Amino acid sequence: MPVGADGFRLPNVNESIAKNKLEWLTGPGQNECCRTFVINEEDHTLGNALKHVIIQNPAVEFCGYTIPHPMERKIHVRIQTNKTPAVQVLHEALKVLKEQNEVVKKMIQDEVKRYEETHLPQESEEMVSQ
Amino acid sequence: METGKITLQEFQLVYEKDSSNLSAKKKNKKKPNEGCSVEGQVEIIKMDPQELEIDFVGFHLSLINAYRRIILAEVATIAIEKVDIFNNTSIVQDEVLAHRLGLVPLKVDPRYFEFQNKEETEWGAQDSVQYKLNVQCTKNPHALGDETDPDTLYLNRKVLSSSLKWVPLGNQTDIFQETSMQPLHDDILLAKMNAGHEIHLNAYAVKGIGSDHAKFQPGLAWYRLLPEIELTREVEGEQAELLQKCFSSGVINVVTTPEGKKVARVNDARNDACSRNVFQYDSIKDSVKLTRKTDHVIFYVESHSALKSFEILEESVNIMIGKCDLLLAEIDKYTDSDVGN
Repeated sequence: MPVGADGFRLPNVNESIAKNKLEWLTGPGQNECCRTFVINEEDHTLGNALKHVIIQNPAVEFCGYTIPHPMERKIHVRIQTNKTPAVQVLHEALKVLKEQNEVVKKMIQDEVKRYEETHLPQESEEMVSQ
Repeated sequence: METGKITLQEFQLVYEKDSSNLSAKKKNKKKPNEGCSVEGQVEIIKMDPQELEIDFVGFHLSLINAYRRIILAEVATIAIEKVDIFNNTSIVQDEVLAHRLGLVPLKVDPRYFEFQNKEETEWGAQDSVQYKLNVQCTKNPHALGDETDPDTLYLNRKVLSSSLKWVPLGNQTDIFQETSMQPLHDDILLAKMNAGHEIHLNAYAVKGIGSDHAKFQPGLAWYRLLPEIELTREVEGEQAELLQKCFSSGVINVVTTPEGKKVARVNDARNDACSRNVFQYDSIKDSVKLTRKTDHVIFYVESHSALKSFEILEESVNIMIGKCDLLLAEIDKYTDSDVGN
């Protein structure tokens, strides 16, 4: 068994094959408008948030996500629409999610500034008066 | 966003979805092309570098939970990973000592460092921090003859985290100062020794994430929904006192009305721990309605790394944006190749 510099087993050759981040399944239930996307290296963190955003889209008839096996880090996101291509729905949802996050980030930064302005000057005034 | 309520009953939780909001949602749904405006507010209740209490109103829980999960699993910090032990004659075993060293929180700012490659065998200045620990326990020559306290009889009996000395690698002296590379707390007990014992080791710290090992977690994060208490009937006299005791302090006030009766009033439901103690007493069981607002989240962050509490939260939002960007780039790759076909 090949051993690396720190005494641990070197990873298998198979493990080093780079996996695609995004794939989709093929088969009878899959077509342009009904697709199951496989996102590697993700879990409930992205899955639940993404599913919630996709469901807000009126063109979507069905959306759900699942983790096929807890020991494999990937999620299946199923999107079913009537006429819109599922990839387009996913693209829009990711854009909306990114936008929401940027709004939240801006809100947090503004709040931090506001809090620092209203709270820290009082402390420096106390120091001066003492 | 659904603004339903969760009613806390004696043995169950009842989810009520706000029906008026559903029709509003459908009106929003008819305009998918317009930019999605986020209705929501963020308010900081209490903030200092170690702790943060922040209110998210109007955001969906899946997003807030994503931030919590990212803080615990994906915001990076620096912690000791490899320990080269030259001499350890103390009674603390090598591996136990190395494990304890890994758990020591360091004040090193992870944003100045890169992740180390898995195959990397050397310790570079841009991805690792080196520490050394060189302590011997000796008899104290100035101790009195009848001294019994071992801490004064021996020098260096306790090995504290203050004994970890930073050894600069490469050009780190140009960028960092000694005070910003120390452990967060100086009084963490690492090992105890007796006379003649010695610990001599080199420790190397790298950047890592919480999903790899809990020592890399930057802090704690948790959230709860805002509780609400509604009195359905007037509660007076002894029952009012009993009602006050059923909730956390400061939640229910007993005031005296102009007629001289003692009546219970809801003061501030925010601090309630939602213990539902009130259902133990039949006399006041029917007098309150306990609910939680599903769109008002009270989010707490505690920091035990170099990052301040609000920086940890901002970093988690950044990581979430990074995930979306990565997937958008992947989709663009596919759609470009489809166009080519």
